[in-house]
Amino acid sequence: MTVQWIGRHARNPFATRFIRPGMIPPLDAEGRPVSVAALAARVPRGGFMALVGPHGSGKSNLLTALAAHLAHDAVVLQSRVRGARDVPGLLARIARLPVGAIACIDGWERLGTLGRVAVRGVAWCRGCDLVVTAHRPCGPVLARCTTTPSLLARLVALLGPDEAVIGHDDVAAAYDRHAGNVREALLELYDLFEQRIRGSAAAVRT
Amino acid sequence: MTSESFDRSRPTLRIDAQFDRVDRIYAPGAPLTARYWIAGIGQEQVRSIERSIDWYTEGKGEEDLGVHFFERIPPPSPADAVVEGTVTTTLPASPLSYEGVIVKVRWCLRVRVFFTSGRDFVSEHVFAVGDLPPARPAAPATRIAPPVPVIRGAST
Repeated sequence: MTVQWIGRHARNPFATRFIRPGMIPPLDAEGRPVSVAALAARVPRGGFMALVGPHGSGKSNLLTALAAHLAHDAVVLQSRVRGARDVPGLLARIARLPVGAIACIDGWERLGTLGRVAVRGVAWCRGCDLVVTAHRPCGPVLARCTTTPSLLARLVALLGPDEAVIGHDDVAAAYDRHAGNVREALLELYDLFEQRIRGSAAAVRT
Repeated sequence: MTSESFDRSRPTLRIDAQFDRVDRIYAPGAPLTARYWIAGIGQEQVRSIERSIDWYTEGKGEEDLGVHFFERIPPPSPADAVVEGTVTTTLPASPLSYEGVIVKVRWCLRVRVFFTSGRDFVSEHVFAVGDLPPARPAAPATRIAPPVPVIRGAST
């Protein structure tokens, strides 16, 4: 593979634009594709399920893919929670959902205890399902997200940087340095890519 | 400059663009004319086509975008093998294209084809507004020697 150029500039394949949830197909811990359809079939009617895993393990990406799949057959609300201040808005949106809709909430723990109780209550009253992402089990677990060096290696291969710029050793080192947090590892590779591409361009100029 | 297309399921669909400046570098406030060609639509029915001149940020953090020009045009005749169009606009004074380390600002002509099936196909053709030099890699930090303390009243 080669570096993709936009005019005089190299395109960094680790930019948020290419790694944000929904841009990469969900993969399991070994880097194999996840069957989103099989996962969607396990979402119960009128229930609550969680995608559980540590930071940067692919929960948001999996939730985005799952929400897109579920949207074929149901009304789906997908919401990313940043903090307890998002609770009123989220409650208002769930309250407007039709019966049988599915609310996919990314960042369940950020709602706070009262927020979580309120959201579950309103969803139950509306007859809506909840699928959430969480770092620890908080109810029935739909899937556990974990990472391995093979997963990061596969993601990097999908993003397609030139192996002369980002090598296997760089990927393995980034995985180790971030203790399996794939998101942080990819952001480190972003910096490394910039450093090497610009360094080589500067060398060519001089 | 390269273009990007996003839809792996429709490899035959192709959108090409040509700008009135060969180097695709425009001065802020300059007029821009770009022609585009959509080929390989095939038998699937097109619902509409959107064309726009946008800027967006690309980098490590949150993303931002702005739409400078937008137009939705009706679907072409099914008999057309190649759909052709022209976008003409006057560019604004800012933001200027910038190739930073953490964030980049890019301008593009974006052509989006919507099919009646609900699927869509997007193609971006990047150009530059202004000619800012790219950010240079940071020089390695140099160590500055601490100042030598002067002890008043000390005799030698």
